[in-house]
Amino acid sequence: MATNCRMKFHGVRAFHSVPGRRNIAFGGNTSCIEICDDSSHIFINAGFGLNQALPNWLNDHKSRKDRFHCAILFSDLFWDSILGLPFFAPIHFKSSHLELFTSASKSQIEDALNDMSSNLLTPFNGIESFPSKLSIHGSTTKKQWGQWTIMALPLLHPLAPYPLAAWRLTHTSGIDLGFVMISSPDEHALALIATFLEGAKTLVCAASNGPHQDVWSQDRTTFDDALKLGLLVGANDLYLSQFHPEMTDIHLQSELRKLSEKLPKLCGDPSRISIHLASEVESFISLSTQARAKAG
Amino acid sequence: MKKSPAAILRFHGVRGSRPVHDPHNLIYGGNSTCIEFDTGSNYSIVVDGGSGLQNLSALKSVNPQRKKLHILITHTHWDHVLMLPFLRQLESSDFEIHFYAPDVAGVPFKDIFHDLMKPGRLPIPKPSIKANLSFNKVTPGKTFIIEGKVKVVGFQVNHQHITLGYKISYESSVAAIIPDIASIEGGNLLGESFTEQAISIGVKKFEKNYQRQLIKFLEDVPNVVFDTHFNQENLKADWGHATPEFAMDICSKANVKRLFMFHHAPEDLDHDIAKKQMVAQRLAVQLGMDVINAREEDEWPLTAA
Repeated sequence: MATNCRMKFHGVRAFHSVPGRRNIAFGGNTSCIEICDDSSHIFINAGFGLNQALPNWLNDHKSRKDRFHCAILFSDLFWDSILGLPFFAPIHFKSSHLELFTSASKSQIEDALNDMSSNLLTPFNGIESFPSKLSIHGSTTKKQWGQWTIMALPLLHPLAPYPLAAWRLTHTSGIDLGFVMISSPDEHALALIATFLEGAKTLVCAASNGPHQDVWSQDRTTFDDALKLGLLVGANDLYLSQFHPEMTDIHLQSELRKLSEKLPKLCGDPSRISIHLASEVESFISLSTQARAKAG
Repeated sequence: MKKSPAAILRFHGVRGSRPVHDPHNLIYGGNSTCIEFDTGSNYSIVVDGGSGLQNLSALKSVNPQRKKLHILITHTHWDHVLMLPFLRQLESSDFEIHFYAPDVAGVPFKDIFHDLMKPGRLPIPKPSIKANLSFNKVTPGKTFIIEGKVKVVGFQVNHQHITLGYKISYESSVAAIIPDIASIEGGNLLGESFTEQAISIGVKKFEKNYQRQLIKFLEDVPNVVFDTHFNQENLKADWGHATPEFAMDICSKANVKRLFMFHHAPEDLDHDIAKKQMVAQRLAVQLGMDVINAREEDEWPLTAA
């Protein structure tokens, strides 16, 4: 079934942006993934990567004036997942409609977005000042979005006084995607996520440890945790993302090599799972092609 | 014998609005605002704490002897402060960080700084601050001295709330950094209290006074870093930013010899920025001024005028 479902990493970094030459191969923008088919747009997180999406939108909009409608699913409300929103071109047009989903409550996301767009930190004055229509859906568990079914798993995290979310997106064509952009690495959390995402064929998981042990990544999943989760879920494709800012291209390639070496020991058949480093440089990944290739 | 310059201007982040990583902007760089005024002493002075702050050598092992950081904040929009809560040195008891900033809408900078670390917002464990921090309120027009040797004065420019340009002098080296600024002409009054002042003396008169004071602030400053976010085609004056033409007009009237164009728009790729310089250069030749695109990692010795 031809679906034209595709996915693009616009921001692969956790914590903060790291523009520069040392990150050419994988990227330096904060968290954002775009998933779309012919009729719908979904973004996971709205870090600065969001501003790299839809590069021609403004010009197209000027000539066509069509209405833009998208869903943004937030894994959390930390700065690195929301700061791209005030700079996202469609938010400045009345004809746009952005629907925002989180596991946190509606008031919690409103507070976060108002903090982010306060007039002390931006030229705006809270979310009311954006011309576009913003629909805020707190405490999301399940939602239909075009041909996608969106499901959220609320997660507790020591840094957040609100629940974070792991996301599962299933398409009527059978495409099945899991997103774990932030999670505690403890056994209990990983087991919960594995149950929630069991059977998802493509898993995007945070691998946020730095080149050295540090406090920033102590409550985050590592490269090893991500692989473990990928195997537990039974994913065919594991995309590692949400990289620590100090992980340069060289570090990331080295981590991937190490994981590939560990794989035969962890599962009898290493061809069970393909491990990829998420990259902002790569163009859209065709999900339908992948699903067919695996099925074949 | 040629005298060596007293200070060096070093660009760590030259983007405006937001940091941006793009394979097509690697020449000029994608980090947001951070400029170092390096006197070669055992302390560092930087203007703004945008994402470029992560490139400051004093924060890395390459320059461990520098344990004192002076950060001048022009204003508190994200692109100028977003790296501050990620400073690892906040947790180091042998580090001193001194902030200099105006109050914004009556809110002291200290409160804004701590709000950046609100629970549930900062994606790292809240730093347990052990560094010796000081917060110093800057009043426009009032000169203050850093480390007994570096003279700094702020000037309120036409941008939202209070936004300060800084003039920094050390021995024979002088530079001014004019961050986000828009032309005030046509009643484009963006700065805090500008409207009230304009009402009291008349808009035209206020505009004229402000322009005259801005030129006076920059008069004979040999090196000026100036916002050139827009060009003539995409200028949105009420966004609070300038064009190369505006920057050159002000700087030529102030007898500035070297103009660094910065606060490059995040959408502008290397070739757009290079083109901006080519266009500016034609006018600069007529004005007898050097016009240079600020570029991340570049350093410029600040020779006297």
